[in-house]
Amino acid sequence: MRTRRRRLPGLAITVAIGLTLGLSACSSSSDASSTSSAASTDASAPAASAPASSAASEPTASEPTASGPITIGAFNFGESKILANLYAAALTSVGYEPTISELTNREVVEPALEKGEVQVVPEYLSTLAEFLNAKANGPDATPVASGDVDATLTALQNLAGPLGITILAPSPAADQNAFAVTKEFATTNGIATLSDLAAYSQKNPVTLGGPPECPTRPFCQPGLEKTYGLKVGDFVSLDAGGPLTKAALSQGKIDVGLVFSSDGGVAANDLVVLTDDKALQNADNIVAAVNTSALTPALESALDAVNSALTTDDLVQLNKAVDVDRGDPAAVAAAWLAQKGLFQ
Amino acid sequence: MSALQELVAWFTDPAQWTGSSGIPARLLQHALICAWAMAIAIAVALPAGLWLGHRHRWGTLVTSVGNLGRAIPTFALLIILASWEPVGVSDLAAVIALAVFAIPPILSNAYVGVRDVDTGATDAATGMGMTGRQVLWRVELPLSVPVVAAGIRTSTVQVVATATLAALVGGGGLGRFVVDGFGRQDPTLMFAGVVLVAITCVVVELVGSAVQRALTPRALRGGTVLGTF
Repeated sequence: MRTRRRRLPGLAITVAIGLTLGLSACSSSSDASSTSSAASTDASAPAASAPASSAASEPTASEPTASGPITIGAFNFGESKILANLYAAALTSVGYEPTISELTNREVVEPALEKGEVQVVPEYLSTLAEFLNAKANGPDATPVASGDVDATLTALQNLAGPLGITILAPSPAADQNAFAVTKEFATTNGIATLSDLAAYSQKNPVTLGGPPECPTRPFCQPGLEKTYGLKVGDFVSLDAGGPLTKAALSQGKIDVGLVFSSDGGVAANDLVVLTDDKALQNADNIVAAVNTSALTPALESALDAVNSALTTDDLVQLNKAVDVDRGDPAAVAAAWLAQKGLFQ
Repeated sequence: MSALQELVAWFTDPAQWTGSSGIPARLLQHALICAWAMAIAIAVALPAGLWLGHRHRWGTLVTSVGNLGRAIPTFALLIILASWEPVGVSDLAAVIALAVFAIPPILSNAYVGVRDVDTGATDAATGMGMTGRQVLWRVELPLSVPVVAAGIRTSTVQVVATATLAALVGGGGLGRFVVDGFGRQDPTLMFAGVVLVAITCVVVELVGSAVQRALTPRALRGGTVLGTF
């Protein structure tokens, strides 16, 4: 009995220490991450301020013919690097000397564009609109983005204009939430749109796969149920358009899964994206966001030429060439421009 | 409302105690995943460890398997299994990954426990005319119960804590609260999951200790016996 009594407090102490360590580790890690992101924002600002001063003193903005150095900002993922390279090739063709600055996330990129530390950024229509909306009107602001491209563009231009940012014409290409099924499932049941899937699900409730937050997010399960009347029999929590969702689709563990419309891995896995025929998703078309002081007619026409030629299917192929086939973004971009006969 | 108050409010909300995503359902899923993983691990590791310990052989093999098993990242194994067609995205992937994770402590402790039984006792048993099998069952096993059981107990607690990973590949269990809480940016849900897992582990540890004590022959109960882990 003596040993037993001695061991129980020991165990209790171990548990108490374990819990304390676990909880404190969690709280300190969240503190650390918030400070580190703040630090990176601060750090990036002075680092990128050198090109800003040169851009401000640059005479090109007032001249009709464009020339001189220009900086394109890119996010830290493959698609953004490809788009930045497409823009770089376009700007080179009209006389600019572009450099690509690979930044991190929108929290860093947007202020850099505003301050003129970068002059051009390949952006996403609705995502940027909501980012600026939250920045101007607080995190609980009424959403301004929707599935309507023109309405979202007007809202974005109204938010971006006062910040010294001009939004050029949106590309038909979009990278947004999409729902995919296997080719076999689509062919067997004659399903091409989300409305088709909703009709099918009335008799055969579907198994939906997506990120853990899908059952509570308006653009995921609740949106599918409300906008399309989709009958969801079961939800399987996986990842946001990542390898697990694609694997689960191929394995038949789920009928329909959340993916991204421009994901190069979708076609590679014999999956097809269903058409969002009732425009549930926000229109996240590619747009060029330009610092207004750097805007010239030559710059606008060069970027418009790229954006108007680019489709979501093109973007899928470009992403596949980089993410699946491991191509170099600059080489992949050059090959696409050659294929389209642009800026030759 | 403070984080603690929100946590208390979450636990006292009747909605958390019913339905297919309530605490009892998740606890049951968690228990089933752990039970299957432990059943497989014990079926593989216990006979092997006991027999090799009895034969005083292949100690290097047991050590190597034990170390190798601990070197395999359970999460990586889980993702590989989930992406592999015959297993796929399911609780089965978690059961297999956890079984692999559970084997090393059981194997090592079974081997060491039986091997280190006083040779005086086994020599005497052999001298009395016992066969090898009788020596194992009647002498070595009862004398090594504290060490062997400690291996199983350690392994069980580790598995109960690690089974939260199942939620990352579409499985159920208490990890659902943690993963969903993280995905939905709902810290209360996440901490509720953490608290539930921690409490479950403590309960399993206490029950394991009681079972271990009950299985230990009365004559051996005096000393404090801890596992090798």
